[in-house]
Amino acid sequence: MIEVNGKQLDEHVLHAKAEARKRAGLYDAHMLELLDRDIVEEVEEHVFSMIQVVYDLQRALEDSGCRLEPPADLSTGNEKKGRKSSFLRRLQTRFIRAVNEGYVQQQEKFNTFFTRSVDLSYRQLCGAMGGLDLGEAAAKRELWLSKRPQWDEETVEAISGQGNGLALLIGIPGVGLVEALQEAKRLFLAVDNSDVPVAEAQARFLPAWFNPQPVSLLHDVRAERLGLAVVAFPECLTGEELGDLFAWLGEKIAEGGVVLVALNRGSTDIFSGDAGFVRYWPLPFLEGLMRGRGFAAVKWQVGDQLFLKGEKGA
Amino acid sequence: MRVHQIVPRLDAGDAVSNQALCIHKLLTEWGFESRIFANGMDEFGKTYASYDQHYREFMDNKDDLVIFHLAIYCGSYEMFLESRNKKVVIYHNITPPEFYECFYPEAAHLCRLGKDLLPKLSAVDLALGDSDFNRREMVAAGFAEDKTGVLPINPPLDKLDGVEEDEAFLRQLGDGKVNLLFVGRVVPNKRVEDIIKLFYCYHRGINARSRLIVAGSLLNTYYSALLSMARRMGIQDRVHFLGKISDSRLKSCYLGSHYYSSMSEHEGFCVPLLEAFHFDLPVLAYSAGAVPETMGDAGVVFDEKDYGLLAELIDRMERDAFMRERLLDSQRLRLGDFASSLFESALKRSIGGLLGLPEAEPVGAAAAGGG
Repeated sequence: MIEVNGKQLDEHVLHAKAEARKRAGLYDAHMLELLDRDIVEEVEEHVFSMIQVVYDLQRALEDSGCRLEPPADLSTGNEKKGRKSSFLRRLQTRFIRAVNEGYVQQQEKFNTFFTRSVDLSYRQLCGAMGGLDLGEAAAKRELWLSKRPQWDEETVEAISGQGNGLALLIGIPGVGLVEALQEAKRLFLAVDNSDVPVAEAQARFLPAWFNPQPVSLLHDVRAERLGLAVVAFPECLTGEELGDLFAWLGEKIAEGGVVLVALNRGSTDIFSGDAGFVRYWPLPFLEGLMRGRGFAAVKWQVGDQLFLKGEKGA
Repeated sequence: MRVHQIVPRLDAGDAVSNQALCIHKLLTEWGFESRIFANGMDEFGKTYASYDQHYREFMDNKDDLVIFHLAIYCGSYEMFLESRNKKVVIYHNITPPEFYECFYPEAAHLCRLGKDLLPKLSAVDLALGDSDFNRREMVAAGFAEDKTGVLPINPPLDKLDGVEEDEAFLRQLGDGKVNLLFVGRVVPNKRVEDIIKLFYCYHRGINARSRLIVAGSLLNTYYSALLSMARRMGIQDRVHFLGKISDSRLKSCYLGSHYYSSMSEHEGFCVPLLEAFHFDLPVLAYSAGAVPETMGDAGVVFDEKDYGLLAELIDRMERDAFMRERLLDSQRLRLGDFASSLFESALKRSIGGLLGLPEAEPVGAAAAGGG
C-alpha cells in the first residue's frame, strides 16, 4: 500500500504503466532477476576477496616472524627498532587492521577516504568509465554526446529494410529509427552512452537503455533471431569495445544478417576539440574486424550518410 | 543544579550529538550548569565535551541530574549505573545485530551488547525515547511505562540554513538530470541496495537522464557490495557515493536534488526525512521503525518495496505539479511539529520535574508528549 499525505493512493494507473513498460521491453528478464538479487550474494561473490588477501598477508607476515601488533603492555622488549619495524607497524595499524575490522566509528574519516580509494582502485581495475566526482569532464562529455546528428527519414527507411530478424542499435541516431524498428516488430534493443536519446525513447515507451559502456551490456542479454546490427557512432567506442562487439555479433548474427557501421568522418564537423572522446577508426581496421568475424564488408551510402556494410556469409 | 549528559561520541553532524548539544544549550539558557561527557569525540566535539572519566567526580552528588544517551554499546554505562545522581535515559535505538552479521560481525556484536544493556538501565527516574517506537521498545525491555516519555529530536535545520552551499557542486547537480537523494550512514539497515534498485527501475525504464546521490559515511564491505551491485546493473556512473560530506555540500545535495528516498528497515527517528521536508524535496519512505511516526500524514509512505511502481510514482510527481505541491504543503506543515520552540517545551515538560522547574508536568505525564 502506498500512502500520499496519509491517504491511500489509487495504484491502478501506476500498475498499468509499469506493466506497459515490461511489455514494451524496457524491463527485461535479466533486469528483473537483478531486482530480486540479495546484496549478500554480492558479498559472497566479490567483496570478501580483498579481505581474504589482506588476511593472508597478515598471516604470512606473522608466520615469517614479524610482530605486527605491539604487546599488551606496550613494552618494546627485545624488538629491534628501525625502518622495517616502523613500516610493518604502520602497515598493520593503518591498513591491515582497517581492512580486517571494516567500519570503525572512531575511524570514520579514515574509513571514508579508505573506501573511496578502494572504490577508485575497483573502478580502475574493472575499467569502468567516470569517477566519483561529478566532474567537468563528465559534463563536457555529455554536452559533446548530445550534439550527435540524427538520421533523416530516407536513411531510417533504408536501414529498416536491411537484414532479417531482430535489430540491435548501438548508438541512437534519433528516435525515428528506434520507432520504425519497433513498429516493424524488429527492435531487439537500442543502447547508447548518451542519456539524451535514451530518455527521448523511454518517454515513448521504446526499449532504449543507457550504458556508459554499451557493449558490456550485451553479455547479459539473450539475443535470438538477430539479423541486423547498426553501429551509429563507432567513434564513441574504444577499439577493445569494437573488438568485443564484433566477436559477439559474429556469434549471434545468422547467415544473411547485416551489420552497418556508420562512417561519420567528414559529415561530423560539429565534433570539435576534445579528441579524447572521438576515435575515428580507419576503414581498414573496421573492415578487418568485420572480415575476421565472417562478414563480407562493402561501402554503402544512403543520402549523405556513408556506411560500412557487412553481410554474414555461410 | 548541575546536569550532566553522557554520550558515546560527540561529533559534528551526528544526530545523537546534535540532540545532546541542543539540550545543553537549553539547559544553559535556563540557568543550569550543563556538561557533556563523551567516550570519544572529533575536533568539533572537543569544544563542547570532556572525556567521560571526568564524570566520576560528580557521581556522588544526589542533587545533580545525569542524562545517558543510549545509541550504541559504550562502557560508560557502568558509571551511569554507579552514579547517585538523578537519572534519565534517552534511547535513540540500537540497530538489530542481524543487519550487520554478514558485513561486519564485530558491529553485530556491539549491537547485541547494546540491546542487552537496555534492560539493565531500567531503574531510572525517567526514560525518554526520541520516538514512540523507541519508547515502546524500552517498555518491552522492562522500563516502568509511567516513567517513560517521548522527546522528539530537534532537527538541526538552522545549522544547515546558516552555511553557504557549495556552489560549484550545486551547478553540477543542476545539469537537467533528475536527482534522487539519500542521506545517512551507508550501513546495511538503511537498505541502500533497495534505493539503488528503485533508481535502477527509474533510470532504466523511465528516465535515463537521472542520477542517484548517496551522502553519508561508508562501511567498507557493505559499500563494496553496493558498488558491485551498481556495476552489475550498468548504472555505476549514475550512482554517486559521496562519503561523509561537509554541511555546505550537504546543503547543496538537498538544494540540487529533486526527490528523497528512504528504504531503511530500522530507524529510531530519521532526521534526514525532516531535512528533506525543510528543503522541499518530496519524500518517499518505507514504513519501518519510527519512520511513519516521523513522517506523520506527510510525504509518500509505502509498506511494500515494489520498485517499478515507486519509479512510476516518481515519474507521476515529475509530471504532476499539483500533486507535488500538495505533497510539499503537507511536508511543510508536518515540519512545524518539530519546531525548536516545541522542542524546548517538550524538554521542559519531560525533565522539568526532575530539575524542579515550576511549569513542568510530573514525571510520567511526558509519556503522551512528543510528535
